[in-house]
Amino acid sequence: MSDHLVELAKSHLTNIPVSLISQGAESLIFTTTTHPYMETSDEGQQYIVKFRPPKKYRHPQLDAQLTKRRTLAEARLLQRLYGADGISVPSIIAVDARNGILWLEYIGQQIENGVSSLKNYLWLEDSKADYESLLRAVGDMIARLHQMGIVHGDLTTSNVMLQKHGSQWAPCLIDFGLGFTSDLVEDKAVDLYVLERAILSTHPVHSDNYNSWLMEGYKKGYGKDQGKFKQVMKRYEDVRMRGRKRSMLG
Amino acid sequence: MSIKTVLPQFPQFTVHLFKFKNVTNSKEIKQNLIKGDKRYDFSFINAQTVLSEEQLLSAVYRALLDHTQDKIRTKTIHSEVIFSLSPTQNIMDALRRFGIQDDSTDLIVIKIVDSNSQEEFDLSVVEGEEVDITDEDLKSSAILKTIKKNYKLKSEDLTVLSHQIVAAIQLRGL
Amino acid sequence: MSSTRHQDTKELPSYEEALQEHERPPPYTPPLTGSIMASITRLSRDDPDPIYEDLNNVVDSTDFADVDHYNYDVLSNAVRDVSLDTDGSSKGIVTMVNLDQYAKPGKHTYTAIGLEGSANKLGVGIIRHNLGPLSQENRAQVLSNVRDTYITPPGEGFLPRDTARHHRNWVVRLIKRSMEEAGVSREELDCICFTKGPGMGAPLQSVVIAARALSQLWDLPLIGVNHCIGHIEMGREITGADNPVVLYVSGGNTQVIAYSNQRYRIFGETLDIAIGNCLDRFARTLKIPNYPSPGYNIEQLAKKGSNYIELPYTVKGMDLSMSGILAYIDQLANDLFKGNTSNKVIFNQETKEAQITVEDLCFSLQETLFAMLVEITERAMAHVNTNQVLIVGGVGCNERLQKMMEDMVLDRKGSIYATDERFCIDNGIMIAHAGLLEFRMGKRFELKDTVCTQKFRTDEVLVSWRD
Repeated sequence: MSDHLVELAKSHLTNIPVSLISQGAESLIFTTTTHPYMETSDEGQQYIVKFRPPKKYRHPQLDAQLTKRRTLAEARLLQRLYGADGISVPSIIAVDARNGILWLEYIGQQIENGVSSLKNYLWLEDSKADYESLLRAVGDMIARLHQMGIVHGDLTTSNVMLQKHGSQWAPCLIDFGLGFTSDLVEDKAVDLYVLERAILSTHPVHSDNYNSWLMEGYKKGYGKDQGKFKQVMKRYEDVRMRGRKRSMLG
Repeated sequence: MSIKTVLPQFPQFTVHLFKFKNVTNSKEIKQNLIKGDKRYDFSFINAQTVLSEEQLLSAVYRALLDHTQDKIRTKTIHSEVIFSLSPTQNIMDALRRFGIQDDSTDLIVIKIVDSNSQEEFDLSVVEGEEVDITDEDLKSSAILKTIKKNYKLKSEDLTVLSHQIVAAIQLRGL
Repeated sequence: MSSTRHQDTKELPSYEEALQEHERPPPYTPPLTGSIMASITRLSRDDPDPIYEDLNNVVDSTDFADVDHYNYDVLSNAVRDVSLDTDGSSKGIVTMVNLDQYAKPGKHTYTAIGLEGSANKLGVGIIRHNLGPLSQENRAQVLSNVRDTYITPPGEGFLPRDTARHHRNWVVRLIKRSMEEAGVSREELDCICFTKGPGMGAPLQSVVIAARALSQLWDLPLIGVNHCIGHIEMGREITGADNPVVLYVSGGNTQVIAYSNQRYRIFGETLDIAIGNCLDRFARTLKIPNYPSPGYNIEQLAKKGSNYIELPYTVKGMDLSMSGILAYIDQLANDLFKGNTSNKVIFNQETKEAQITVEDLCFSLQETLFAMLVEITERAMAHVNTNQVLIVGGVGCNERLQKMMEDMVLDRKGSIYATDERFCIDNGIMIAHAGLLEFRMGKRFELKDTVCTQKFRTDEVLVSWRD
C-alpha cells in the first residue's frame, strides 16, 4: 500500500537508494547503504531512515507542526540517551525535521529467522543459555532509562535489537517514537506493564521466566536507589490489578 | 591530502576540505574576512575544536540542508558551516568558538562551490603548510578539553563523543 | 409535576443499591475458541496453559476491578494475536453462529421495539429480522424510527432531571407514533428492548420504567442493551461493514473499538471528557443555539473559518485527552468577547483589532480534535491490520470528520463507513436491533434485572451473535 508515500520519501532523499522495511501508522522505515555525508567505506554498511509522512487529513499547519515536533522529540530522546551509562540506543546521523526525516545508525544483523530482534532471538529456540542474562540486561537498561526520567512508551520484544559485542549479544533499545520524558511513577509502571503484556502474548510459553528475569534486571538497574524501585513496583502492581484502563462514565 | 566530496542529497554543490598547520597569517585572514574581502570566501575553522571528519561533514550537511530549505541564519554558506558546528543558536558565539582566531595555527578550510560552474578558488591566502585531513590528523590537533566544553559533553570514548557531537549539530536550535 | 420530581430523587439511591446488588458484570465464559488457540499454537509449539491459568485466577474473584482487568488482558492478547496474523485476517476458524435456535415455530420473522433515552434524545424504533443470518441479501428492516430531542436555550446544557421529565412526557406519544408508522400490532412484537446504559441516570430510568410498563401490559420479554453496542451493530447493519475498526464519537463517548473473540475491545478512548461534550460545552461558551444540535452549529460556523490557530494536541498512545484543549479555547473565546486586547493570539498587537473570528475558533477546534481522532483510529487499524473504519455516534455526522477519516483511509487503501443522522444520532432502532440480536441468541431479562446503569463499558458485553 501507499506507494505514493514511498515516492514522497524518495523525493526528499535525492540520490539515496532506499528500501522500505516497515510501515507503521506514523512512520515508514527504510534502510540504505548510502551515508548522507560520509564516504561509505565499509561494504554492506547500512543506515536507517525513518520518515514521518505528511497526513493529508490534517490541516497543513498542524501537520507540519506535528511532524517536526515528533521527529525532534524522538531525536532529542536519542540524543539524551546515546552514550549514557549502561544504555544502548542507535546514534543520530542526520535530522531533517521539516520533512520528518531521521537518519539513524543501523542496529542488528541477520540471524536464522530474520533480523536480530529480541523477539526473533527468543523465538529461535525454546531455551538458550544466554536468555536469562540477556533479559536481565534488558531490565537493567529499562531501569536506567526510567531513572533518567525517560519512558519508552512502546516496549515490546521487537523494539529491543541485539548486537554482537564480541561473541556476546547485547541489547539495544530502538523506536522511541512514542517515548516521552516523565518522572511519574505511573508512567514507568505502565511502561513495564506494556512490556509484560507484550511478552505474555508474543512469548506465552516462557513468559513467566522472561518476565521474572526482566524484573530482576530492572531491580538491579536501580542500584542503590531501591526506594524508587519499590515505588515503581507498588504502582506496577496497581496497574496490573486494574489493567491500564479505568472505568469511564457513559 | 584534501577532501573533495559531493553529498548525495546535494549534487549541485561540491565540497572541498583542507587542513593547514603552522599557519602564520591568521590575524590577517580574520581581518580580511571581517572586511568581507571576496578572496576570503571560505569557512576558516579553528582545528583545535574539531575531532573528526564526521563532525565537519555533519555541519556541512546541516548547512546545506538549511540553505536548500531557505532557513539559513548567517550571510553566506561558509559562515553557515561554522555556525552549524555550534550546539547553540548564538552566531557570534559560534564564530568565536569555532572560527579562526588571531593566534590560530591549525586551520581547517572549507570551500563549497557550484558543481556545474567548477569555479576556481585560490588558497594562497593561507600562509601555512597543507596537511592530510584524516581523522588521525584531526585528532592530533584537537584539544579535547575545549571540544567537550564547547558541546558540554563528558564521554571518554572518542567514537561516542564524535556521535554525540553529530547529534548536537543536527539538533541545534530545532 | 413536583411530586414526580420528588420521586426521581427518591428513586435514585434504590437504583444505586440495585446496581450493587445485580449489576455485577456478566459471569466469565472462557472465550478460548479455536481462533485464539490457533494463534497461540502458531506462536509456539507448547501447551498454552499459563495464559489460561492466569485468566482463570483473575476470574475466580468477583471483584469488579478484577474483571475489568481481565477484559484488558484478553484485549492485549487479542491485539497481539491479531497483529501476528500474517494473512491479515482475524477470523481464524469460522464457526457459524445459529441465530434461530429460539425461533418460534411457524414464524418467519422477529420484530422488536427499542426505547432509547440515555441522553437528551428520546428515540423509539421498530425493527424486523427474517430468519437466518443477517447479510446483504437478508437485511434488517427498519419499520419505524422516531425521535424527539430535548432542546435547551443557548448557553445551557441539559440537566438530568429536566431531560428525564422530557422523556416521561414524550415516551407514550413516541411509542404510539412508532407503532402507527410501522403498522405493527403489539401481537407481532417479540420483545421490548431498552437502553441499559451507559448514560445519564435519570433519563435512563424514565425510559426503563416505560419499557417495564409496556412489558407488563403486553406480556413481552425485556432486553437491556448496551448503548455503544447498539451504535456499533446498527452501523454494521446499515453500512454492511464486515469487521471494521469502530470510532464511536458522541456526547458521552469517545472510543476506538475493534472486535475480537466475542467482545468489542476498546483500543483507545478519552482520558477525560468526550468529544461531543467538548463541542457542546464550547457551543455553550459561544452561546450559539442548541437546535438542531450544538455540534451541528459549530460545524456550520467552522465551514466559514479559515485561520488555523494552534491549540494543544494531546494524543497519548491510543488514548486522547480533550479537557485542556477546551479550557484553552474557552479562554480564547472569552478574551475575544471581552475585548481583552492583550491576548496576542486574538488581537493584532499594533492595530488592536481582532484577527481571529468565532468561525476561526470553531474551525481550529474541529481541525485539532478530529485530527486526534483520526490519528488514534489509524493506530488501531495498523494494530489489528484492518482497513475498514466505521464511524458511529452523534459526532459521526460531522462531514469534516468523515472527510478527514476518508483521507486517512484512502492512504491505506481502505474503506470508510458512516451513517446519516437517522442512525448516527441516538435512536431507538439501534437499541431494537442490538436487543433483537441478543433475543435471538436466547437472552432474557427477569423483571428484577431490568435496571439501568450509568457506567457500562462496551467490552463488558459478550457478543454472542458474532463468530
